[in-house]
Amino acid sequence: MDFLAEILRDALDYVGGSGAELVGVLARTIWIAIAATAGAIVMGVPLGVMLGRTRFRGRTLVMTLVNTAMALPPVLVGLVLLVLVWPTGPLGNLDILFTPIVMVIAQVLLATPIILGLTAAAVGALPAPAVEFVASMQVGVLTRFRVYVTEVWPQLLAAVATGFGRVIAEVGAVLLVGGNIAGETRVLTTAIVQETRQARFGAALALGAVLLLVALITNATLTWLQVKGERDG
Amino acid sequence: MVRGHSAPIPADLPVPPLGRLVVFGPNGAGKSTLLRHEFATRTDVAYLPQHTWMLRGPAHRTLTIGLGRMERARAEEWARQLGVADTLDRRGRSLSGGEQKRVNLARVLASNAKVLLLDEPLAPIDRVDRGLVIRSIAEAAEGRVAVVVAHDRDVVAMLATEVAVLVDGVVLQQGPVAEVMHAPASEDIARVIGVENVLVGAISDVTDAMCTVACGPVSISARRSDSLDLGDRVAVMFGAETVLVSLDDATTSAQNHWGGTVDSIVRLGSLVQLTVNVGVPVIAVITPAAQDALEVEQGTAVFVSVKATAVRAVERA
Repeated sequence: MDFLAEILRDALDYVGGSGAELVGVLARTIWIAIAATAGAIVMGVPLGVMLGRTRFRGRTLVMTLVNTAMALPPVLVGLVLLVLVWPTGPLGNLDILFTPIVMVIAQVLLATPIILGLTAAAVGALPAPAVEFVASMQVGVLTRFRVYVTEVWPQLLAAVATGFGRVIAEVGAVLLVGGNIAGETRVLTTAIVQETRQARFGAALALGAVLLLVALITNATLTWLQVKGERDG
Repeated sequence: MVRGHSAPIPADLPVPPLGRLVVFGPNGAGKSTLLRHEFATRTDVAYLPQHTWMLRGPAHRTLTIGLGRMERARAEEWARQLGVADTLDRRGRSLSGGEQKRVNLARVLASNAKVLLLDEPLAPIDRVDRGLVIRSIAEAAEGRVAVVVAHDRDVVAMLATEVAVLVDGVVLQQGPVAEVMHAPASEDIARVIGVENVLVGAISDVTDAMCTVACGPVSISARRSDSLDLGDRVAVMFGAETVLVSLDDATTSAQNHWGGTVDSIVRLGSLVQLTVNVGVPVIAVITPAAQDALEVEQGTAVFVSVKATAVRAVERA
């Protein structure tokens, strides 16, 4: 009990005593997660709509690959990216190793298959009358895309929430390519690892609670929008 | 275009350049498949699918999304004409089935396409609004052609300038309404278009364009085609509305005049359907007023008359 009480006291002390550092880590975590989710939306939604609606030879194979990519091991993604952007690697001249940029890229790679796959599933499951109506509209591809997106809006928000959840909670890839540099690439998850390694469990738990709070606020907002979308159908 | 349909892809439908062609047939005949095929293979067409769909948001969005300024104005005008203008600000999916169909239809009618393909445009429309929709389709089809799928004979009567009878994905007969509805080319077509009396027999006499057909104990005078001759097995067909019912054996110009008893009386909407056994069952429709005047009930002895020119003999399929 004493041990747990001590951890709790340490956690409160950490929150109270590391204001500026915690805010910096929190802000970095949020902007990297938002940037990565935005990137995954930009790539995943159009491709998801296309995959959901287009019938072509090999579609099942592509779907299988996308579904598999939804479960990509973050450490593997981080490792491959690390090799690519290593100073002597094929993309070494970009000089982005241990920067937030490469952390965003890593998380985009992890979140895109999730948003793509869930979007494709939602658009592919649209009822036949909806699909026939869209075909009968005889409008341009952009309008069709807009219609499909709005028709699956609640499911799309669920996909975005899932993608955001994946990136904000991810540690393996960002630790490898970001390096957990204080003040530069340290985010909540890597900070938790750092504190845990140094047996500062109270601080780690405090950071975990903040991470959970961010996830809660984000998902509460997205879920509210999702439910509103379903209700307003 | 839409997967999962097992009906065979039909051959192209001969669509006239102008007018209103109603594709008529029973459920499962392949009418919708035919229309989808026409939509997929033709250019310059506008298409109203059988099943309505409203996009998320206000009905106005479904009516006008993706349309240019002129088309948008026309769609709003058609919505007004179809009586749904005041529903456009409401959530599309909260509209009734009939209102949704009319919003979908207004969008299609606003198109500049030369061919309008309309799949069951009257299916969920209330009886009171049917005239409105029929008039709108007729107006929109002026100067171009509307191909309208229907399984209701009333739609053919109210709208069609030409009718195509479709069974099992095949157009069995196509032509002007009067020709097809009053002179179906076969027993199958007669059944499809709802000619209530279809009797089978053999030709016992032939004179010019007419013939006499022995159907069990009854001889029936009928029009015949040149290909039919003495002894041929034929189906004779006439609509219930061509049968005259009387209580006395008065002299009439009708060549077919038989006495019998009323076997059954069924109320069909605003009309009454009688089945009179004259040796074979003959179906007639009369008004409730006529029923009251004749005081007919089950078992009443009556006479039925049918003009020979209203009866058509066709080769038995």
